[in-house]
Amino acid sequence: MGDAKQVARAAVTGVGQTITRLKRRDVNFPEMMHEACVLALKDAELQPEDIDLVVFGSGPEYFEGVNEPDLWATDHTFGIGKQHCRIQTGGTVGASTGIAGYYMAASGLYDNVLVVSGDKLSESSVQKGLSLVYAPTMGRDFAAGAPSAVANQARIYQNQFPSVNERHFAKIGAWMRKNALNNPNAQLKLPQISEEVMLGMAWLSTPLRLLDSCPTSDAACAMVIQSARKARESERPKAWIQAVATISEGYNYVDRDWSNPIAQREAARRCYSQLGITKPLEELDVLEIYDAFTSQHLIWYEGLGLVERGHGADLVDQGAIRMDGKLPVNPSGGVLSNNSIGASAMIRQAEVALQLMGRAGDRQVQGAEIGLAHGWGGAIQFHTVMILSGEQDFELSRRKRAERRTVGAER
Amino acid sequence: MSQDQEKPAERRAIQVLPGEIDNDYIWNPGPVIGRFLTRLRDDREILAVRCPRTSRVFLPPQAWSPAAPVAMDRYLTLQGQPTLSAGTVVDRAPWNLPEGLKPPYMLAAIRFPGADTDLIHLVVASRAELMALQPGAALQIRWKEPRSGTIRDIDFFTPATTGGAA
Repeated sequence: MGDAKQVARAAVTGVGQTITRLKRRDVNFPEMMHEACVLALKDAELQPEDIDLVVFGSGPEYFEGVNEPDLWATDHTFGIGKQHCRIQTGGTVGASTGIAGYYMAASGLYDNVLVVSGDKLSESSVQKGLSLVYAPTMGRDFAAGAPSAVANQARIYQNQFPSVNERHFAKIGAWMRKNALNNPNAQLKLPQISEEVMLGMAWLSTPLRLLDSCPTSDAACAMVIQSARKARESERPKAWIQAVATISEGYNYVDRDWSNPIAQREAARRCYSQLGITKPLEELDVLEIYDAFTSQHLIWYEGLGLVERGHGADLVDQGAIRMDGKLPVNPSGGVLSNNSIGASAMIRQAEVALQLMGRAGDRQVQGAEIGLAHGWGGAIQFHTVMILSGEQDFELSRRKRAERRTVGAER
Repeated sequence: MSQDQEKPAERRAIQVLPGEIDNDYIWNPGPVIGRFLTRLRDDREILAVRCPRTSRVFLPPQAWSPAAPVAMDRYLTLQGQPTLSAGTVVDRAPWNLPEGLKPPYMLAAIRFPGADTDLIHLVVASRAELMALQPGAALQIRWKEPRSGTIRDIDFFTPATTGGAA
């Protein structure tokens, strides 16, 4: 970190999440994207004509069965007469779309950027779409969707750290589904969920059982990202984007240790280094991670540098990731409770933004000031990190946290 | 906005248009995978390649080195007993059950002696045998007859203890 003061160049000033269902039979795909855009504009108190640029994201074409789905949706995302461009990076697409929008606003070339990302997974065979990401010459013959690939990742991890067991996965699954009960936007609501219910489910692909997996959803998410100059014009609460990184690993998955996500490590390292964060577990208030499967929590904690490699389960054993723990993870219920793929990684950013604005309702982490949003996608290949704060001057957010802790200690 | 309680007249509304997309492709595997698949088909040989920069042996082989802009053209044939690195017993395969198979089967990372990477392939045995397999377990190849030049020319692997000709 240099001597220069870390001052954010853009902020999230509006968030829109659609109603989420297993099947959104009431709207078509562009209409669902429209719904998110309208909510985000309204939230930012902007009109469509205020928007300079639209960045559009959705998953692989196979999900909608439409080549270039952004063309279909231009009219519905306030893109007419403006620059309208598409991002596609698999599961990370929502986050990459948010990050692309950030680059545009932070560059100073655009003041008001609308980013929107989503998918209707109910309209095609999702697992077929996911299987077709593998190269046709090698690997596709065995592809049976995401669960078996991630189950193998979990096995590789367990082979190295044999003390990690099903009970860790079950605890995570139960806690995240409890969190989802506080989130009106979560799709999967399981009031009766418990560790025992998790462990009683049938196998999906060992060591994962059915509820170790996310649901499939129809959903879209949009955000308004404004340049610092524009964002400062309003007194409304906002979430400042302090650091972003999007990093890829090689496709050749046989040449990597799936349980040691070097792309995620690098993404986190870059953001921490820019902000001078050395102990993320101490210096963050809230985390939203892309947890399509329970087992990935442990691996992602390590990739984000919260704990040393092999110690992800410690945070579960200590209850540190619960709402009342040291660092609440996925107060929203996470991807385990809501996964449209296209919207999922942007929802991580939007949820952190809401937390820092103090607008997260029943899932609010009290006094949240600095938060991290993570995205994962591709063939266990892409990772994104975005760190946001309540104040434009990062040092100010840090001081607020320090003061809060002092007050807490005096009580 | 969503209306969970639809009016009676709206129940008749068209809400889905069924359809499918049919398209034919021919994929060029490239010269390296092409050579690997040809050896499987014609010679039942496992072709790997050594990186000239790092000496790491890649299976399946690939044309480029991840470490440097150098071509990897030092081919070698791997022999000896493959072992299990890691595997998941797939109980539900919502799509693309590997041809001729039904769950449970194992999706596995398999290491050949001399290789520095794992080959992703299938292990087929009874559920009990699959559940009992540990990392390091010896495996053997079950070849397909006749072979057609795909990775499934190795039909699947079986645990070495259950017998069957290699």
